[in-house]
Amino acid sequence: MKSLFVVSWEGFSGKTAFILGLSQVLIENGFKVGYFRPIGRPQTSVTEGTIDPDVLLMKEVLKLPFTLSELTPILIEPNYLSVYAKRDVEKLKNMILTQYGKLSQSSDIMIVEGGVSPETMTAFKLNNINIAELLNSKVLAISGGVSDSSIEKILFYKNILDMKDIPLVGAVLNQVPPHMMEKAEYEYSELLNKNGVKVWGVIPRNYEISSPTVRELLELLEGEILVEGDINRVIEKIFIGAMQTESSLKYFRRSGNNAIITGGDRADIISAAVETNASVIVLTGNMKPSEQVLVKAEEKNITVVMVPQDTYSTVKILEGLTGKIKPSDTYRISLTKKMVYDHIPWRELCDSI
Amino acid sequence: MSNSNTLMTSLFNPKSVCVIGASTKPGKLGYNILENIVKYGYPGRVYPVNPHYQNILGLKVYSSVSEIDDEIDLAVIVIPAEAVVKVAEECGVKQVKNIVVISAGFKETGKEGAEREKALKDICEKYKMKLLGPNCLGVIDTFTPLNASFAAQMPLKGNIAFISQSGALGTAILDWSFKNRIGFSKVISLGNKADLSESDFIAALAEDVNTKVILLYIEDVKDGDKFIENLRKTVRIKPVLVLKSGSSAAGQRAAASHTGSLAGSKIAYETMFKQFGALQVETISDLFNYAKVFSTQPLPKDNAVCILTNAGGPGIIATDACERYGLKLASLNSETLNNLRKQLPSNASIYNPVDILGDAQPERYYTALEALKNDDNISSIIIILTPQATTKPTETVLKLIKLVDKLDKPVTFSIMGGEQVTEAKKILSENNIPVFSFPEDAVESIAALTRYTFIREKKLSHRKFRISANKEAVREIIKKVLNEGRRTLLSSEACKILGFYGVKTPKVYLASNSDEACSAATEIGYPVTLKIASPDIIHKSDVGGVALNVKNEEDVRKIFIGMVANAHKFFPNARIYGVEVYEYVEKSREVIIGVNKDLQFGHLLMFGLGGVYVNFLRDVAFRIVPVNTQDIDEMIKETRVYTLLKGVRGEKPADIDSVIKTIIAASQLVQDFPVISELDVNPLFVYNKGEGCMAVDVKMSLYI
Repeated sequence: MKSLFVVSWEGFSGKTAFILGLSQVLIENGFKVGYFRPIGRPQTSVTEGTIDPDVLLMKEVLKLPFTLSELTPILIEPNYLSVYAKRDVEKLKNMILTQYGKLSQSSDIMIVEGGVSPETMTAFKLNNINIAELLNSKVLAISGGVSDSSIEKILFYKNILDMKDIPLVGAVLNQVPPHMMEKAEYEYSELLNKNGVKVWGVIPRNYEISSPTVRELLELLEGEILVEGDINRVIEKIFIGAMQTESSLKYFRRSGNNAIITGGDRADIISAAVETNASVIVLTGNMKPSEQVLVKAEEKNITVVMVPQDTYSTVKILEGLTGKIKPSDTYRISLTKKMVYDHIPWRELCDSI
Repeated sequence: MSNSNTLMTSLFNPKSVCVIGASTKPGKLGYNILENIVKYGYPGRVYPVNPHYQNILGLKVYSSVSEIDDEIDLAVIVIPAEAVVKVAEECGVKQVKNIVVISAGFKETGKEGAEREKALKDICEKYKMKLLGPNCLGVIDTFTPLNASFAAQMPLKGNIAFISQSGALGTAILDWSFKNRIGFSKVISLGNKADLSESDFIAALAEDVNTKVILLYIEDVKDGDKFIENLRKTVRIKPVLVLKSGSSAAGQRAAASHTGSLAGSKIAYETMFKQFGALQVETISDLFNYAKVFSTQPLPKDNAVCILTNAGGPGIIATDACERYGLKLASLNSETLNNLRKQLPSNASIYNPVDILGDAQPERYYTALEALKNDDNISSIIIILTPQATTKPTETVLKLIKLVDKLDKPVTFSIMGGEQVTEAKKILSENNIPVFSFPEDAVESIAALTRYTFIREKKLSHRKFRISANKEAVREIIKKVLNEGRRTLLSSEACKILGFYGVKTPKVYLASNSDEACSAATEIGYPVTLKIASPDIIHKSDVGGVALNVKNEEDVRKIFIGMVANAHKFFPNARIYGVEVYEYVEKSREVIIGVNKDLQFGHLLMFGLGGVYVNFLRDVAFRIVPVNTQDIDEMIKETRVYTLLKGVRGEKPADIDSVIKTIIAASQLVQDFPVISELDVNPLFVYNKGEGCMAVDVKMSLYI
């Protein structure tokens, strides 16, 4: 059985999306794929209780016949150090091993997803490096976006893994913005190769996968939906509509897929948002615009939501808006598969494990 | 214009009219409209339609349109909105040519209404019926005569056509017109403009022999291109006066809330009206003041005015107003002066303004006007009368009327005063001679008339001037930008694009690290200018993103690092591509050339004083694209910076020809690539005549 341990340095690298895509590709090509995330990041969900949403996603998509706590035995909670200080480390290790054994039965390949960040659980010798060693996995590093420091982080991983003789099969440079593609493909890849890290793929940023959608915004705001348009549209940029009519057009035109936050009494701004085909219009202060304005939004299939909060509070709430893929999000799930097919020589990668 | 002809006959002069929703109850619209048609003498055949009645106003009532055994030119529909679409379809089947939907309850009421309006529009398209409204007052033609509206009265017959987007304003104006003895040829209430709009009607009225002047009240224009097309043709034939509301920021908000859509900008509307020959007015009173003059007076030859007055003060006030409104005081020819000298008392002023003194009797006014009558130097005459001790206002006016009728020049009166002059003013009005209380109004309306003379006589240049451009290369750059998911171009890309249209720009390289920046600087030659390269940072100099006159490699390196760090600090989410290294160019006079895409009228071109003060001094002029060299020449001359370009205080004149060429390039570029929504060349350095100009900083945005 092959075992691939996928790690990243920081959140939002697109690690989950990559694992999701790779698993689907492997299954589609006849492999039996198992999944394990020994240390997970919990979130509270109304329907599911406290869970790791990424693990739930994998469970649903790969149709894994295990419970969430079997798939993620350890959840990192606040002040986790105090909690685990009282536990027997050896027992924890054994528990992970046993669990892994159970999950990997009848799998051709096990994909293990790394912890929240590289240092997590170092106090108990259960950080990413320790677990990769424990499970005898080969490591793949994913970096989200590219910069000098993200490349160095991969090399830092390589150094530590080398010290422990844990094999690093290589790296994937994910979510690379268009203007960095060339540099990532040549300069950075070459530098990594020179240092013994094979680059399996440079994946361009895809807003459709990484950006939040109108649906997520609506869930977060819980406002009154005045017009339900296309809620699957992504949101790339958020604007506060407080400027003059003429300048609003200038700003809104400069980017696509905008979320525009403004007051219901700013019929001009709302119209400008409609005119520039915004993804969603958020009206603050519970001010409802005239019907005529809403009709235009409806004609263009643009969602309009009204919230009681003021603009600043609304923006604060929207800071929590992230593009997490949900099990029901079949379109984005299929995009992750396409992403791997398009950019990763997956069979070669698989052979190298 | 065959469409307009059909409209003229079958809508304004139909052979048969049916009123669907006719009622027996006075006070109901269905009754009022039918009554208006019958009462005001419509000569064609009238068919009331209503399944509940047999007879209204002595006419046989039909239970549906299909029952009528006649061809129907016009159907007026005044039934509840929910039933309109079905009835319109019946009209379609019956091959009715025009329908006027009076009923409200469409787009103006919300979603359901909007869907209803769409369905109504589709029916009309399907059966090729013209549709006026819905949600309108109706249509009136005083010559047919046809009053297919629910207006309380029939307006007086006249040669003014009035098109109004607001029904309520229409009724108010009609009522007011009686008091002011203003007559109309046609009154059209546009309503929601689902099909027929202002553009259709100005084209139709251009050909209407009964209409001398077209008045337009609008909140927006439905189709910018069509309006421009029809307007420019119409103003060659007769004047179009426009009152456009919703131009203030609050007004624009109110209009957006009212119509649900954003009208084009105030500047775009003003530019469009001016460029294509409509006379825009600011107030309702101006609209009708001007209308009075346009409907009764001949056009002046040019802007030379003669003022005839019995009072010095008002004469001077009128003189000031002339200058303010672009008129000049005519210099009277020697024959006129001799005549005046002979006939007038020696202390009268025979030079323009002609002051015939406070004791002027009707006879003196008459002889003076007689003397001015045939002076070719005079294009229009303003007659001022103030009631002084021995003045006889009524008699004076009665005496002058006979002469005014024979003049081939426009005349306006300013009869000042109250009780004493009421009769005199009434007489003038009754004789279709424009009269105002105050001299400024008399001058302003003559100025409007003069402006129209210039509009009508303006020679249209058809000279096409095209710059040979490398469109393929431009297309490549735009494609690359869009592929990267960007809408804002880097300056280096924007410069290249202008370069492909023959505009000189400084050498520029994009450097993504300090090594590249240094070699770019060496290649270009020191000193250089460095600018942060990020599509997300628009006002670069505000965040330390511009360094001028950088002299050596060490500085380039330091500035590169600092600039990028600064950009990250101020705009944490901005995409930073690096730094652009520019060739240093010699400073010169700074002008701005800008293009912005207006929602209604497309690309709006701007020219004016450039540099950092552009937003403060606002010395700019606008035109709607496309423009020809004549337009550009006029546009440049509208600005104060033109004076600077010509050279002041011994300065050499600037290369204005190269500015014109650059403007043509900008206009042609956005025409070739409508995807460009914004272009800003600021500054364009203009060197001395023969030395060209250079686009130093170029911003460009796309909008798909």
